[in-house]
Amino acid sequence: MKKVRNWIRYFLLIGINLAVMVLFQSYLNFLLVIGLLLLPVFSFYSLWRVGETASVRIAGPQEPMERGAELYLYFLVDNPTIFPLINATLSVRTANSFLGDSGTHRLNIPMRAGGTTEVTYPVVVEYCGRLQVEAEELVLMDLLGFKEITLKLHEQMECLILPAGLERRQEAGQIYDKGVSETMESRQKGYDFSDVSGIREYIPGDKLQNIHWKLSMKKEELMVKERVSVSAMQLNVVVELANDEQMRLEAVMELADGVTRAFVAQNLPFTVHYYSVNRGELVSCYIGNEVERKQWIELMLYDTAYAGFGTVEQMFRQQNPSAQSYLYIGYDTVAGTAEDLIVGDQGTMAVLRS
Amino acid sequence: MALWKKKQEEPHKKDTQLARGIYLTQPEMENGSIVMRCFWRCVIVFLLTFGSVGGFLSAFRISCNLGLVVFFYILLSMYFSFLYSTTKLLYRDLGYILFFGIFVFVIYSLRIYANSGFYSIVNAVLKQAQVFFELSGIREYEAPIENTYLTVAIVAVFIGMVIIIVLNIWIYSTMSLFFTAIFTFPVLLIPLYMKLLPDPFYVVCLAAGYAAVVIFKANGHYLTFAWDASFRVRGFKKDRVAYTQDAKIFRQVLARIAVLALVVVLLVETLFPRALFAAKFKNDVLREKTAETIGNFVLLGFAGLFNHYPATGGMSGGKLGGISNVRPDYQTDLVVSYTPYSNEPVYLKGYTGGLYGDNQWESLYTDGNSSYDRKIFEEESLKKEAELLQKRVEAQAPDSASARMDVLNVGADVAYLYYPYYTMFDDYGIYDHHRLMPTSQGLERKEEAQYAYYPKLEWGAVMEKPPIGSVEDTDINPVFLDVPFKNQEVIQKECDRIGLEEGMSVGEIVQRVGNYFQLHIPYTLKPGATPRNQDFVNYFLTKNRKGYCAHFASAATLIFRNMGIPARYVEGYAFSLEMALASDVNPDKEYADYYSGYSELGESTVLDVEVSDANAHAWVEIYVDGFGWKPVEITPGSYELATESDFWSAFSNILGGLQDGDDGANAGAMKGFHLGRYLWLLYAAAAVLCFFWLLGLVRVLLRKGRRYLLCHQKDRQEAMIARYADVCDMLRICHGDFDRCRSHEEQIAFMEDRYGMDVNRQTMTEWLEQASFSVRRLEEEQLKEVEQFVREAGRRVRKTAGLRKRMRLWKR
Repeated sequence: MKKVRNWIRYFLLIGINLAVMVLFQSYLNFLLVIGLLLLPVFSFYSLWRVGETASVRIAGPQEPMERGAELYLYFLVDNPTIFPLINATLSVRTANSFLGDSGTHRLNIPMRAGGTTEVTYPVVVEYCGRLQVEAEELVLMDLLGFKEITLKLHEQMECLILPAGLERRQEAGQIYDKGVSETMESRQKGYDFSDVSGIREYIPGDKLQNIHWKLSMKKEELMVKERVSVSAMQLNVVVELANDEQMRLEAVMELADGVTRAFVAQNLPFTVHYYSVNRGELVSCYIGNEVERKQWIELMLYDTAYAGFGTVEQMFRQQNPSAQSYLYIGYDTVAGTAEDLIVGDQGTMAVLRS
Repeated sequence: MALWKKKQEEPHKKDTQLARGIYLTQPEMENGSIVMRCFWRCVIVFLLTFGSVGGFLSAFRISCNLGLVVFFYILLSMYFSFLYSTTKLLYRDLGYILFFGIFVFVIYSLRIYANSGFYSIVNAVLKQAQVFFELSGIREYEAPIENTYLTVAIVAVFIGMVIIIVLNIWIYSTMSLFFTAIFTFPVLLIPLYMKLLPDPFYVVCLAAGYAAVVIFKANGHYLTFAWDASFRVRGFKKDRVAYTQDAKIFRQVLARIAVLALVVVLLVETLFPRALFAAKFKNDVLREKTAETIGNFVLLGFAGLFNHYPATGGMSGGKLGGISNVRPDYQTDLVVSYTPYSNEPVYLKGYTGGLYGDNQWESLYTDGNSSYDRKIFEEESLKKEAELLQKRVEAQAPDSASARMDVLNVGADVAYLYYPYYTMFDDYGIYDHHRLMPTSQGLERKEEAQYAYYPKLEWGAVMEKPPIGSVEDTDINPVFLDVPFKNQEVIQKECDRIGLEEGMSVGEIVQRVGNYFQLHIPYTLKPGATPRNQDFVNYFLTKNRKGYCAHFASAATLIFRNMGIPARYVEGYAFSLEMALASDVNPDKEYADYYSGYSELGESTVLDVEVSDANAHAWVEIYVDGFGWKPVEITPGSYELATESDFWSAFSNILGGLQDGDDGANAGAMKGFHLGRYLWLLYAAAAVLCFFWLLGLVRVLLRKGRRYLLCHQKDRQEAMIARYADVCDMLRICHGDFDRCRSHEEQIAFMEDRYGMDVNRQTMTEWLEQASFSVRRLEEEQLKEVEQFVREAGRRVRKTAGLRKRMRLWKR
């Protein structure tokens, strides 16, 4: 509509000038008409030249940021030509891939000649996840507002937004102790419910408890079950990455962050389990220190939240039937006793399941 | 505390939501200070003003102190531009008031300079107009201060100041090319009409200014305020983050445009120069059709455009009808040195009209056939009659006389000679009296001539003869018996009314006509103009029934012709014996040098009679058998009609102007002003109003059409959002406080409160926000409910709106 208006205005202008030129035999209006006729040529040429050479860059923080903190993105639009354009519109897609939310907006800027137009974009991300900012296209409009050209861009940047949960040191310590003691007690009774990591031929010295008798019978040679190291099986933490309309995943993430940070702070190793939508399987990570913990959270944030609470717990139980106890961090679980429970926001909780 | 809580509830109220949980606070860009942003706008204002005023001056080759002009233009442009850089509107208003105070002081102090400069400009324009329109005489204004270089610059600054103030407002608020052109281009039409062109430099300034306005109007980003942030969020969905303005881009665009304008102007001037352009046009329709009107305008001001203007007396060259009233300035036009010899008035013949038509008396000159024109002049100047009288003098006839008259033209139209009856010219090659008098100094405006003439004091029985009726056996041009077809009926009726009959003598006819006019048709200097498309004589005799000498002379000429007396219309100057006797005696001149022969007054003295434009006159020449052409006075004695004593009488006269039967008996102070003659003005005003009304209607319909398309688009969710926006728009019109509602929730609460909408506010808010801002689409049921809510809200708003609000809603 705006373009049509501009065209109408332009032709009206030409018409009036022509009329005055003919009526008054005015050389002044002749000059103006020539100027008006050449103006679109200049305008289109400028547009074409800028379109040929323009480029867009996006810069942002290199390190992960905490949620709620203001982070600065920079849109740098280069125009090395001598032709300025008043209207350039960047189509910017902003997404949190972890939550699966995205939005597209347009950023209107001038294209200054022979330099870079820099726009500082202060952004606050309320939910943790992976912030993705992509400049999808750059629409350039000529000086007379007659024509637009669209440059397809694939310039993007991303930044991880980490949860900022409160460290629940005391509650986490108690739960850890309880969870670990249950596991050890079971093992001492001869029930080793630690995970089977593989099956191999018997090597002298292997515990008899680990012989896979049924398979040995079939293969007619002794086969043993290889078990995960007991030290790495101190506590299983199962994190639910399901989300809903109330954005309770955010509360889960905060709780998980707070609890796991407390474990690491007290040198309590643990293994976390979460369901990866991207990989379509349950992913387990051993966490022994803060670096590993951060890596795990970042890894998790690269994934995507899913709908339906309880998914991860169900899968964990299926894959680890021997697990005697584990810490489930999620929502709407069967409430345990006060010692088994760390309550988070929005009805989320970390509960020790036996 | 409560306030703090509220802030906690809406932490991102002022931010822009980019996606769920991602907010943009306030983007920034280095866009230059407000001062720089204003400065580049002031450059546009400067270019346009300087291009316009400077172009005008350069076209008329009026030189002035350009340094002073440029300095003040820059200063004024910057001052008014920087008023927009103030942080409060109050400061801007104070700035205007302060300037007004300074302006009053300055204009008062420099009023004489300004007046002088203005008169100098007007004189320069009139001088060009005189050449272009071939006007015979233009009055020059006297400039009290002769230093035009300074005074013109001062006037240019004052004129430019007005343009700068107005342009500044339009460029800042709407970047309107229409108003920019309205305030800068019309002044250039004056030189353009006269085929004068501004210097290329000013053309570049203008072209660059106009191009800048066109470009920024097309692109936006021209509004600037001190309180503006770098970016503004736009769009109903608030998904467009647009920069407000940028000083650097303004500068860059302006620089490119200026260079482009310069290149274009130089290239075109080189490749297609002005002379080549002018040669391309064969016809000049505009000037052919309007030159006369514009010439009238130049001579008489705006009144000249409406065929209704006052005249200051003097010669009209046979042109009739346009003059509504005559207001002589009593300035001396001629100084006549002669000796009085008779009680009869002295006539100085100037112009002879033979052919009546198109409301003018045309002369018989061809301006091409010199030998024919010379014959015409000899006949017109009454050579034959002069020779006859000369012979009587030589024969020493008892009533014969010879005389001399010196005529000094000091203010009369130089296109004509003014000579007495019956002059014998030494050289009849002077016939082309449409040209300036050649003198030893070249072409002189002022004429100083000595005429030898033979006064005819006794007419004997020639007036007792009947009209000749036919020119078949004479050398008289048959045109002098011609009555145009369209006048025949009116003239015949008038003859009947006067009681003219066949068989009457010439003297009797002349006397009856004179008496009738004296008794029945009043003389006035304010008869009112003849309406366009009406015949001057017919209108005078049938409708107006009042007039001055030109009316009576014209009518009488046709009446005489109708009665078979060859007659023609004559213009010139006439003065009475009383006036002559009241003049100064010239002691240096001898009576004997000026008069010899029979005199009714005996030996008198040489008088220098100052003849003013009030003595300009029109009379009739009739042909009398046995002698030749004789001047006849038929204009009644001069007396003015009583003026209206009160406003209502004058007003009723105005309305009376609409009636055909107005006989002028009640004419007075406002006589000549007939509303009927100005109906076209009312029509024009109505047409303009209709045009703007139609324009408004088209705009409203276009807006409605666009809204309809948006609200009925294929995507139902988008259509619903558009409808919701429409409802919000309606609410804004109906309730000024609706704008305070920033969020959907507040808006819905407003609707609940004012229109009793029964809705689950939280749910509806969520759905609306989801539809507006989220990538997730509403489910069918949800969409239906929201649609229903929006439709109902719209219905209730429309239903409860008052008449005025409904009108405003319709006009959206």
